[in-house]
Amino acid sequence: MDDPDVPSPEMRWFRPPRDEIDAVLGDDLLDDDLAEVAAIVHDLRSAYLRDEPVTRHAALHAFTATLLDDNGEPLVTAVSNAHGSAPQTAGLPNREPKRKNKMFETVSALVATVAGKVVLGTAVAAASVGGLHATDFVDVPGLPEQSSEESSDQDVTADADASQSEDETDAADEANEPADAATDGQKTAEAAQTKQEVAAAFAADMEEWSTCAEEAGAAGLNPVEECGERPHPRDYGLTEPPTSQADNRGRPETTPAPDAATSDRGATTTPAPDAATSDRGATTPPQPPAGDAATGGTDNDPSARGSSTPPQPAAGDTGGAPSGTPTRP
Amino acid sequence: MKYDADDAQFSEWVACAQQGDPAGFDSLVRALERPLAGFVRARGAADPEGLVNEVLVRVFSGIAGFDGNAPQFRAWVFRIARNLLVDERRRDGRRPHVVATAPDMLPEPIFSQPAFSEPTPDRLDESERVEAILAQVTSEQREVLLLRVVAELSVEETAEVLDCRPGAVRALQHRGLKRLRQEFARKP
Repeated sequence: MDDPDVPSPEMRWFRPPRDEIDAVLGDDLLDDDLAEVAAIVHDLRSAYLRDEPVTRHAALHAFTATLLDDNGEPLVTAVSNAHGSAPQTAGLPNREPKRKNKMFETVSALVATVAGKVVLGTAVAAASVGGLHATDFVDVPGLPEQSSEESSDQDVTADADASQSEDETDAADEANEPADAATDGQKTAEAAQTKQEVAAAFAADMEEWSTCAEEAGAAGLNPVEECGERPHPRDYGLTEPPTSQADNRGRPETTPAPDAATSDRGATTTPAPDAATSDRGATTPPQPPAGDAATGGTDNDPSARGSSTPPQPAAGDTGGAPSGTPTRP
Repeated sequence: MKYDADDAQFSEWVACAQQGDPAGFDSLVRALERPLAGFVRARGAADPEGLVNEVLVRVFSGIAGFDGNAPQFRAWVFRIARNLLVDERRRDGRRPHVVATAPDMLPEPIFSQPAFSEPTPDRLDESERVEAILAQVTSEQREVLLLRVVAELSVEETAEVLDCRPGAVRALQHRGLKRLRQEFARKP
């Protein structure tokens, strides 16, 4: 502006114009040419501007009033949404996706396929048949028996029964029928009972022979000649003299004698006594088949053994020997 | 600037209001309510006091997101007032106008003493006279003069409210004042 090269008429264009309103409102020293502008400004301000404060409505009063809550914090702040909810800038709240169970996804994927349906149906059918077989509703040949422990016990008892049958009857005949005896538990119990009865019979014969021998000794006679040979456990199929069995004859026995079981077990390894060498074997009728054991011969009848009825005399038995007393050749 | 408070104090009030300080809000209301009411009244608002309250509520609702200095804040406030005036005129333009043909058809005043001071007959005459004078200028010149004189905004602030350049504001102001001088000279 102060450049002397610039002509004065052109300097008027570059001079910043003086704002008349700012001069009037700024209480500047007014020139005469601004008197009219000052009058206009005065008229405008006096017409529209009032000195009374604006009545504040409740919404505005909420901003300006110092409302404090119990903690001393202002109840309404500038950023509150008392006059409407703030614009949602982040959209819907992000929710963490629910964690899905992978096992269910795998099962669903398997069931969704045809092969999966086949596999699942087969598995269900197999489980159903197995359950029915286990509960004995259905007998499936390929599946094992229900209880292997019971089967093994039955096998052992069947072996014992078979060996006892060999002792008392023809071993060759009995050896051909192990299957029937092994599967019949009732016969196993009866066989054990028969063993006890044999032992009781041996004890009774032994007692009878002892009485006879005492009487013969008192009479000065030879006990062997009068009463015959002393009964031997081997003749009864017993390896040891059942001394305790003689004392327990009158008591009810619920379990087989341990020595009898031992003899049963040993019967499979030791050779069976020859039936031809036993007098008892000659008098004893042949052992009926296993299936007829319940209704079998009199030799196994406990009432016949336990009663006072003497056994049937042998065909060749003579003398005062008690009937049924075994005689050694 | 014609405001009682300078720009530094204005900026301090804005900062306090942005932090939720009621004192900051109250200071801003006291500084803005008078020119705001005069501007909306001069623009023919049906309820100047209600409109001022609405403008201030909108300003304070969004003051947390405001970023600027004191002149920009004043320009922002009057831009909101101007937009609300435009909306109000649009609403009034869609409403049917009821013209009272007889004095008994005028509605009875609800309150004998209204909260806002009604213009006295002298003031009403003065307002009618000023309205008659302002009717001689264009709407743009009238708006510039009202923002400059009644709202007490600077040229730059007026230009920001009207979304134009300051030179255009000066030109409109100059032409408007020139026209008003002629009218004052004709009507003493």
